[in-house]
Amino acid sequence: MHFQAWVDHPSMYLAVGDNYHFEASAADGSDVTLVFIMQDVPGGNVTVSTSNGQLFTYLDIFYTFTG
Amino acid sequence: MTVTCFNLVSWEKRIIPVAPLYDVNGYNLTVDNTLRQTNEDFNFVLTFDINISLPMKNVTINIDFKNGVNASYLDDFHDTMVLPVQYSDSLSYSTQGSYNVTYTLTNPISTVTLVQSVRVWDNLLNTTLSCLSTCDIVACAETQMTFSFRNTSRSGFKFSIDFNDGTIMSDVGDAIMFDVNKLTTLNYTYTQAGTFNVTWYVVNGEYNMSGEYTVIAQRQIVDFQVISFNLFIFYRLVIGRCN
Repeated sequence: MHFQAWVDHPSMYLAVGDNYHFEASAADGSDVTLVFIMQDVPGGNVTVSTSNGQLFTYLDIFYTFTG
Repeated sequence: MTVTCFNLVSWEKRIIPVAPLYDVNGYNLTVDNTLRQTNEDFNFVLTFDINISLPMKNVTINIDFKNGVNASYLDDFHDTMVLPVQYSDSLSYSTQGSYNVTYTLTNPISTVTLVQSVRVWDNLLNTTLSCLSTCDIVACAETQMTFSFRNTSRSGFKFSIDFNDGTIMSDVGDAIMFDVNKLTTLNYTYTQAGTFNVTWYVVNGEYNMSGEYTVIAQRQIVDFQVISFNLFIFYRLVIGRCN
C-alpha cells in the first residue's frame, strides 16, 4: 500500500489557532477510511473515506489546533 | 498525531510528529522608574502572569540594555510550568541619555519585541555659580576671576554665562552632556570697571537651572601719594589692592 502521511509545514511546531494542511497518500488501496487523531478534545479526530470502490491515492484535510 | 488508514483487508498507521504551541503571550514588562541619575539602578521586571496560554515550549529572552550590556534567559514553558514567573534585572548607566531597552521574546513559532524607554539625567536643580576669587563679588578690573559651578552633577551639561559686558561664555553643544563633568573652573577678566549682573544657566536633557550673580569690578588704586610740600616729607601709601 505504501501509505504516507505528512503535514505541509517545514517545522514540527505548529501554532495553535492557525490552519494546517495534512495530507496522506498511498500507491494502492480502495474503500479506505483515514482517521486523523489530532488532539484529545471534542472534534479532535477527523475521519475521511473514499467512495465505494474508489481507488485511494491521495486525501487531505485542513485542521486548526485549539490548544 | 497519528493517521490510521484502513479498509476491510488491511490497515496502516503513521505518526506525524507535531507540537502545537501558543505564540509568546501573557508577558508584561515594567521598570520601577523611567528617570534616574547616572549610576542609579533601574529595576526591570518581565512577568509572565498566571493566565498565560501554555505550552510555548522553549522561550528565549534576549535583553539589550543599549549600553553595551546584554542579558539572556531560556526556559521551557511547558504545560505544567509554575506561574507566574519573573525575570528581574537591575542596571545603571554611567552616561546620560535616553535608552530604548529592548526585550526580544522568541519561541519556535513567534517573536515579540518589547521596548522600554528610560532616561538618565543628573539633577542640576542645586547647581549654583560661585566666584572663587579672593575678592568674591567685588573684583578687580583687569584681574582674572575664577568661577565654578557648585553642587552640580558628575556628568556634563550645557551652560552659558553672560558676563553683562558683551561677553558670553558657553558650551551648548550636545556632546558635553555625554561625558563626565570637566568644568572645574572658568576664568574671566573684566576689562572695564562697573557693576555687572552676571546671568547663567545650565541645562541637560531633563533639568535646567539659572541664576544671577552681581560683580562689582573696580580698578584698583595704585600708588596713591600724599606729598606735603610744607614739611618736605614724602608719604607714599598703597591702598585698596584687591589681591
